Amino acid sequence: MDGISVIVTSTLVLGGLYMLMAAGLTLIWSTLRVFNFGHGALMMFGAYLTWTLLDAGGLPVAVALLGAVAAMAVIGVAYEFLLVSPFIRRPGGDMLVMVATLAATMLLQSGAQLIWGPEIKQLPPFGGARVEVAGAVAQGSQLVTILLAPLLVGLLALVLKRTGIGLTVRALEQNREHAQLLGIAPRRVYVFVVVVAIGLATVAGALLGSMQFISPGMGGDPLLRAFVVLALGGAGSLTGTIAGAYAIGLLEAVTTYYFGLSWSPVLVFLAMIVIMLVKPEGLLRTKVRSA
Amino acid sequence: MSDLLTVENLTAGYGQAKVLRGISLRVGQHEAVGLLGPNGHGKTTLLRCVSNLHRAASGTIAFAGRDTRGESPGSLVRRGLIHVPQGSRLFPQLTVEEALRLSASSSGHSSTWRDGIDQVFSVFPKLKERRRQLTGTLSGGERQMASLGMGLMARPTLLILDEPTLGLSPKVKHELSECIVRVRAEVSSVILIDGDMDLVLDLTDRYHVVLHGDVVDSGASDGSRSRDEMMSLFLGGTADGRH
Repeated sequence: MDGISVIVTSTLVLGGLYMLMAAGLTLIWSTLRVFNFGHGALMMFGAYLTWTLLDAGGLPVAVALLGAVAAMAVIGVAYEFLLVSPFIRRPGGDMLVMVATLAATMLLQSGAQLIWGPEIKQLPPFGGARVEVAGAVAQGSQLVTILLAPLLVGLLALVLKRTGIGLTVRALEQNREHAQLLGIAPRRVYVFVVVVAIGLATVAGALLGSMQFISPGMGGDPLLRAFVVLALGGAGSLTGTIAGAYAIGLLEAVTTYYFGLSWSPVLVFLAMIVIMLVKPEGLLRTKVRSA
Repeated sequence: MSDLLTVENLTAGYGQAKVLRGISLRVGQHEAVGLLGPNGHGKTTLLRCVSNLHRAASGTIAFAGRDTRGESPGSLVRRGLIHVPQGSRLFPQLTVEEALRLSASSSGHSSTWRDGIDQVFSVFPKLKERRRQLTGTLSGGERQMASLGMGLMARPTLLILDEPTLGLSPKVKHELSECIVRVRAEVSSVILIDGDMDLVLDLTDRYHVVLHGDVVDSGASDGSRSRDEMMSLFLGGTADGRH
């Protein structure tokens, strides 16, 4: 019983973190058709910014996080202007953008090292609330992650479904050329998408930074897990992303509990390879979207 | 300048392949112009250049008295130049109504989209029945209707229709032709490309025949040139082997 309750809590926490990362990645993928390798480093940068606002600015942790999200939105606009739009319309531009985002990872990591130094930081927990359901305990940042992540991603799904900008995003996703003929400016959609994705990554970074530590390389693991989530849920579908995030969270929690920390990534990526071989369009997708 | 659209000495291509070779064209206010000619001779490329989806190598295009070089497709849409593309698969996961509303809002008419949609439903009663259906599940004819309806939602002053009846069965084609006649009545100026020569000549005031990226014949669409003459013009063009 004790094992199961640990697994439940860590499934929900990990699933929450991964869905915050993967939702942004899938949004960027479905509109820009590029994989943002910089997403993990952006998450890390968001965590550091939250720490600075908290430590130097003396703000409460939740306010510091909001401030970091706002600052990261500005960085997101710059990211789109410098790394995406100069390349995306060229022939083979998607490749150039992916390489540019890889370069951004190194730049952000070295930048963080320069700005914040080598010593490891940690954020305080987001509140001290504690909830126990049938033996499974979640408290502080864990509890916030469990509740906030699905709330934010659900909100994003609602915005995409119900609002004008959501309709525009979906249209661009489904038929870029015809969307342009209707007067939709892809650039505006790209900026919106990148800013939202980076905002979600910042939240993930701050939450992770309060449960573990903040270091320049902290984004690597979550980025790789989010990649597996995309493979599992099918890139481009938010429902698939949510389900995929919980599935990977569960797999990781179970394998960590029974086989140990060092075996868990091996098994998670093994699962991804099998899925890619057997069902490359993602487990929840019935068929690949026609071109 | 009274012409709505003026194209002068336009050249364009894809990589090494030249498609347009100094083509010129004009469309007046309240005028419908047809483009005829075999496939692969530059009609669609010409229209893609006009709506700034494809950049011309040289030449000028002016719409409503203003040079369109460097203008975004979106800006042209808001000025009233609406291009209904050839064989679009539309937006498979949007409903008919969402697609129509989208076209109104992205062309700057979000506040009056309800009036627009009433107008579209009166031209295409079938779309009203299908309003809650995903466009990806529509038949070929219905998809074309939705595409034309989206064009109307943007309140065009110049409506460009690229092969609206392509790939439709004769019966559906007939039904759609009647819709296009009604669309024509709603819009000031039209450029129409279609494989159905009779439809084009019926609906337009003037026509141009486009071969090898240039206009080889022009005239009034009043039947002064016989169908046979037209056909031999097409074939003569393809027989000399240039592409």
